[in-house]
Amino acid sequence: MPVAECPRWNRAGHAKEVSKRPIQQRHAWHGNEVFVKTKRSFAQFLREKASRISRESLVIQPRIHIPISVSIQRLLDLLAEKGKDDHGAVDPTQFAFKTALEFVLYAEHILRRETRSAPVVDSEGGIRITWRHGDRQIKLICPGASSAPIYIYQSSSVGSSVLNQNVTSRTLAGRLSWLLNGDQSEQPSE
Amino acid sequence: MRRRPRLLENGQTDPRDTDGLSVFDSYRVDRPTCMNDVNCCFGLATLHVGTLLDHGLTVIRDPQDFRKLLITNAPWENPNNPDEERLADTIAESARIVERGRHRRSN
Repeated sequence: MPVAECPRWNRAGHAKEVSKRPIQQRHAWHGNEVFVKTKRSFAQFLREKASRISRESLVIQPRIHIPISVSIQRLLDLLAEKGKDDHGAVDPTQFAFKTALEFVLYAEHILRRETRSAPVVDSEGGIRITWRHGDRQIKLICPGASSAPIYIYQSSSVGSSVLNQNVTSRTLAGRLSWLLNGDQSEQPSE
Repeated sequence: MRRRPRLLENGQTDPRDTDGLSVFDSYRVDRPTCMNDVNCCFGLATLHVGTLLDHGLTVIRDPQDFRKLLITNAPWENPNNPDEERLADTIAESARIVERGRHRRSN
């Protein structure tokens, strides 16, 4: 129980004896006051407050528009599905999603431009992302588990190749640069 | 794509598509029956057997289900091999989409 000193004054303006007595402390919280006399009433107040906030949040929370690339938006859309169907997982694993998101984010950051890709979920919850431009295409394969290799498949009318070692965002950005700009230095080996 | 066999938690192996990529035979099954055979799908596409044979693939009758065919040497999912990836692309590009859109099995 909070305790406060309450001075009393006589008519002459002199202070009377100072007594200490318990008072009920009141808190002003967004216009509503609550007695903190008991834990139960305070807990009830918090419950009511929380339920009111949650009800209002459904109504008044504005739709947030964050400028993100088409590739990232399509990756996020993969999370809309849950569970399994006749052919396996329909939502990506956490490992696959994290890997794919990091690769695409950093690659677009390096390229300084957004890209348009088509991600799909495989039967193990891995993610395959395809970028196409004319007869060229790049695929980033992010498996559902860390035990399987991450690799980049690159193909064109000249040939096709797979990069499955030292796969980084920078290498993906290099391949995407070849895809989008036709850099001669990144032609497939075959 | 053709799914690899998987080791289950009880120690047994789920063969999945070990015997080949399973497809319906359009001469034996109509489209609605085909789509209702699975719980959920996002469309229906057809493959031409002659085109598959031209690409070096082998198509046989599924001994377990007379309505189906097996493409026994179809590429595995995530093959990590440029030739297999290219073959999977070729199969996908030869497919013709005949039904598009999400479909759930009607009970």
